[in-house]
Amino acid sequence: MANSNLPRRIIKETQRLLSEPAPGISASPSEDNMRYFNVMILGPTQSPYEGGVFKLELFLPEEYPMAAPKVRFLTKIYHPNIDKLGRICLDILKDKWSPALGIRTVLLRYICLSSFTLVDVYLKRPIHFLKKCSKHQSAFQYQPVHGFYKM
Amino acid sequence: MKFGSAFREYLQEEREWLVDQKCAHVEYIRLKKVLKTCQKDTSSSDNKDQLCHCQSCPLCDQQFFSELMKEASDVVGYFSSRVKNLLHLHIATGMQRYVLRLRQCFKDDRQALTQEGRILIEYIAMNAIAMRKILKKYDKVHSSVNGENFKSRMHAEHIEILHSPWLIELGAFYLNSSGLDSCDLDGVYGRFSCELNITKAVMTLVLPDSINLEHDLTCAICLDFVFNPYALSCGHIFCKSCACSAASVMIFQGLKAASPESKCPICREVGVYSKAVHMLELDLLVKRRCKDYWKERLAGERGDKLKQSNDYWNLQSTYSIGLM
Repeated sequence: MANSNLPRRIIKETQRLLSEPAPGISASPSEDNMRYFNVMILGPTQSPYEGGVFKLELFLPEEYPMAAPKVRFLTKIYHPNIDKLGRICLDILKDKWSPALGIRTVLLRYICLSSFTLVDVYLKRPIHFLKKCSKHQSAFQYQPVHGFYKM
Repeated sequence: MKFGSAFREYLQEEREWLVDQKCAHVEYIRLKKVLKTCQKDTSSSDNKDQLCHCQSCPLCDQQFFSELMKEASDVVGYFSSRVKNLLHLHIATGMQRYVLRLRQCFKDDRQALTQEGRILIEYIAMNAIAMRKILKKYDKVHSSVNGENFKSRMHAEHIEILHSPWLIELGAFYLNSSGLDSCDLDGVYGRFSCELNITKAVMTLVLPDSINLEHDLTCAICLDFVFNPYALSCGHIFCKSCACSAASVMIFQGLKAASPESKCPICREVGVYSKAVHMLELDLLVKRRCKDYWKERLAGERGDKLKQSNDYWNLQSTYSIGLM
């Protein structure tokens, strides 16, 4: 049902994702619903998530590309911009979304997000994800926890 | 042949046409003299250095950048108005079409239109090269990057000579006139060529002085060849239906109805919809080259327009009756 009247844009994006996959990203549409994607992201090198494999789900709403895709981490991950349900705090999925962006752009931004924390868009309790460096440092100087969950 | 003499020759060759039309152009020779006097002044005061090693030079800057900015905007404005006029004659609609067809029975205007198109391409190319060379010369004389900074300022203010959507329209006009995938033009300072690659959806304009312009004709929203294209004032091209969706207006209302706060989907610049340019020649080119695709998109857009207008008027009637 969801596959009937699928916009050309989604078909083109899917074909491009399958034929030219982005490095460190594997995305494939579900067989019964072409708007639902199973995504696997490799933890970026030289980041706390190096060596990790993270599973995500991505859904393209009816209004796509005028509305942003819905994305969620299925694999548990420690990150100040990701809550315990796997929901991500990312500007391009909220007010900064543009129809010129696409699935590939969004997923590449996740890889960037894994390497750098967006301090200005922290979720409710960033302290839970951060720890103090040493006794001698200021109470406000924290470093990310070097931990992740492998699948 | 040096560019200075080629530019002088070009101006002399086209003098009649330029004078008739009160045409603007980059004062390359005069600006070069300004730089030469600056170079002499600095070299006389310090013989060791031939160049003026300062980030900005009051001697030049008073007249240089302000004049260049004015000249560039005049050139772009003049070029746009001339191309608009030329294409208006080529793609006339309604009653105008019949009048023009009647005129063509007595006089063949096609040759004249093509000739004017060639003159306009040469005009924009020569001015672009003059602008590029004079800014390069400025940076060389002053050992600065002010020329480069000025280029980016021009880009921000949308008066960069070679980034006018009318240049794409002119290229499309040439391809439509020739009926070929590519066409060559011979000019004073070299060859001009224009070609369309349908597989990649790219229009390439090769101008003299190794200026190679590649215009991507893929709509960033539908990821297809642009259909019924509009160029926003920031220079980005979209299908009309895609641009309307991005600006949250209905297709039948058009882009003029877009809110001033609406942003370009690519560069996120505000207020770019009010001066959007309808690229009729480019649409004609797509229509001729990809007939099936064009028909399919036309049917789709008509369906969307009909659905949107029905929904809109149903809502209006519901409001007027007072059911909501």
